[in-house]
Parts: sequence; C-alpha cells; structure tokens
Amino acid sequence: MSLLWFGAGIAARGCSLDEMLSRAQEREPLGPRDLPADGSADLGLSSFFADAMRVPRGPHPGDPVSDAWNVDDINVMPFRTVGMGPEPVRRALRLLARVVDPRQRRELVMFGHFSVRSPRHGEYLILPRSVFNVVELESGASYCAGPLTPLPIPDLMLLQKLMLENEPEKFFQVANRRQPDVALRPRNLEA
Amino acid sequence: MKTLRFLDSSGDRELGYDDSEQMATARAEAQRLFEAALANGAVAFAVNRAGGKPDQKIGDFSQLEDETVVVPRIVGG
Repeated sequence: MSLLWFGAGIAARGCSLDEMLSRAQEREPLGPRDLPADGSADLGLSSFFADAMRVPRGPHPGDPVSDAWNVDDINVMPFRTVGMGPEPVRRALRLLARVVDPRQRRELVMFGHFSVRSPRHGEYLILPRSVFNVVELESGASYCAGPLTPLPIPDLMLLQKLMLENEPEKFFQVANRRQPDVALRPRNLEA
Repeated sequence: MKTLRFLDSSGDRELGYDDSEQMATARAEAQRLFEAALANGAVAFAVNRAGGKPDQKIGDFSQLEDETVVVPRIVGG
C-alpha cells in the first residue's frame, strides 16, 4: 500500500526518480570524497542511498592502506551506545582509530569492526556491540568481558584489543564464553 | 609532553604533563590517578610508540611513554 502512495506521489509531482535524485543532489552537493576518481559525476542509486545512510564510500576491499582515511569516514551508527550522546562516542572512535594499527584501521573504516591476533590464543574479531562482541574466528565462539562502568562502544573495543594483544590470560580468565550455536539451535531439536 | 588517557563514559579523560618544574603539580596529579587506577585493577598500555613498536603493558609511572591508555578493571559480561 505504501508503495502505491509513493508511486502516486511521484506521479502527482510529475517528475521521474532521476529528477528527484538530481534535485536531492542540488540541495546537498556531493563532497570531494564522493566523486569518482575519473572525475565523472556519480548520480546513480548506489550513491544516493549510500549518502542517505551515511555509509562510508572511500576505501574498498583491496585498496592500499591510506593515512588519508580518518574517523569521519566511519559510519557512526553501529557504535551508538545506550545512555550516551554522540560526542563521547565520536571522541572514543577518534581515539580507537588512532591507536589501532594500519591493518585494523583499514578494517574499522571499511567494516566497522576489526580483527586482533592474540598471542597463543588465535585470531579474534571485535564487533561494535556491548555484549559477546569478541568472536573467535576459528571456532565462532564469542566472549564477553568489559568494565563495570559503562564505556562508549569504541572504548570497549579498544580495551578488548589492548587486553587480547597484551594481556590475553587476564582477558580469558574473566571473560564469559558462548558457544557459536547457542542462538541458532532450534529448541525443538534439542535432546 | 606525555599524555595519560583514562577510559571513561565521556570517551576518555586526558592528562598531559612533562618533566619540567612548571608541570610538577600536573605530574603529581597524574601519578596519583595512575596509581589509584592500577590499585583498583586497571591496566595501563603504552600506545602509538616511537618507531612503530607494538603496544606494551606498563606497570610503573616512571615507565610511561609519550601516550598511555589506562583501561578500567574488566569483569565477565
């Protein structure tokens, strides 16, 4: 039904989707980082929705690591923290982006998460969530450990990175572990 | 100038100091907070180290390098 209303709205205004996109671009011109490298204007649907959803569009898989990428290229939405305004989250994200190594920074900018290699414990993915956000890549098991006082999610990710890389025994001593299939196993199939 | 960052709900609390006489008060305050945090189970790490060296756990105020992050004690979630 809503699609019908949407279509009727376009017809009533007498303009096509391309015209609507062009008008949107006129109201909010593309920034330099949004323009393709060959200089041609990209007014397609992908750029429209990417801008609308504030998804970072700079780096892509396979791109070389660049110091030009900064925290402003990161989509902040996944890092929103319950009970906190945007400023602590943004501040924590800037610190995180400065402390992680270039490989992790690239992953953070591209995907919103990054991997760490823990000595004698394997490789882990740190996700932008507040609980069970450390995932062991080999087994899929997830771990949950954090401070008693609330931290912005990027600070929590930084804490976990530093602990996993430098104090893994201390981290795993207190972390709760969840098997990878706990959330996916249908109850009616359990013995 | 050395920077000490304590992670908290505001993002982080930043303290700057150096070895000069003018910064003696700031240095003493930084040392007091640092030692109090470690006594409460916090862990300190030297980050962004010179020469691209990996992060390192710090256990003593005299070992602090240019930038140190102090993370609060962690518990199982």
